Amino acid sequence: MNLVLITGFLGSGKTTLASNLAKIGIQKGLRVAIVVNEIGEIGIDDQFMRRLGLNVWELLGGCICCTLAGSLTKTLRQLETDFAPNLVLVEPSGAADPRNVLSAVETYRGSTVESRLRIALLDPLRMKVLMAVLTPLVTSTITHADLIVINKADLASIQEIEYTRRVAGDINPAAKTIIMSAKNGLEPSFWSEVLPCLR
Amino acid sequence: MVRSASMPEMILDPFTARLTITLGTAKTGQECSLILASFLETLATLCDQAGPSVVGHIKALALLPRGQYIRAGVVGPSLPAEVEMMVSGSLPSCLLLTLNVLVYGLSRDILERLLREALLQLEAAGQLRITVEC
Repeated sequence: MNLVLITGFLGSGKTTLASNLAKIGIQKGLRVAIVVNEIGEIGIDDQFMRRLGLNVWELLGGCICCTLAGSLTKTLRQLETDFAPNLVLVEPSGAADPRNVLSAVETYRGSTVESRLRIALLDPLRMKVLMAVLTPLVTSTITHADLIVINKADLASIQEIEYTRRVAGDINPAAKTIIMSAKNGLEPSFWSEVLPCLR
Repeated sequence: MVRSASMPEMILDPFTARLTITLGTAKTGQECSLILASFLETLATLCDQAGPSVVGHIKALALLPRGQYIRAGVVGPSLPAEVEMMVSGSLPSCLLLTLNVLVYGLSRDILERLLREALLQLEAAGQLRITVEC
């Protein structure tokens, strides 16, 4: 089982990315499961992804990081037993601090976990505003990533993208950065970063 | 719109509502898409004007028969809403829309008031009737 954690602020494109990644994984013959945690009483993202025909498990109500870490671990264990996926995409709430989400994912000691990949989505359209007002959350998102995706490349200006790239590079110079638009499909460079973890 | 960088810590108080939208006249997916985008943008603007706040995500989903759907969202008062849909032909006369409003700095009570204000504007403009379940 390969775990891919997809973090990013609210509205940064996590569900779109997860959906597209899942569809490609299925086309490549993988058994793909998506675990989604959405803040709010009624989930929208899981309903949408199920409408696309994807296998979705939801954790509702609070944040994975705060109240549902145990539920995430339990869900992963249940997935291994009941569904035996090759690829599990974990999409926490955009309000979740990745540090705590990561803790739940990294301490999971499932019998078949082969790899873990942390992807952080950044929204260049709002990067300046979010860095000004929600600095700890954005910084944590960038810090705890192996791969940084600067999303919405079709909508952002060159200046917005460059600012985002600079901020991300300053905070986490070790992470690889890809610029793309998740809604317009996945770049080959993105898929090549994800594929090694899938062997 | 962010007022200043020295704003006190803003709390996120998620607000969810189910809207039943009765269309007065038959609408195509494209027409509905424009109405929905306008509604979400109006709501985002009202949130911005209501006080120190940051729009996280205001998102909506309507599941339609035969695998169809309309999905929409807005992430700021100065940014256009994005609508994605899988629709063919005219829409049913009645749509059930789930709406999640995630705005830092505004309480659920305020968000509900702003929602109702946005819906009044929508009704006034679009030959629609809307009931809200929060």
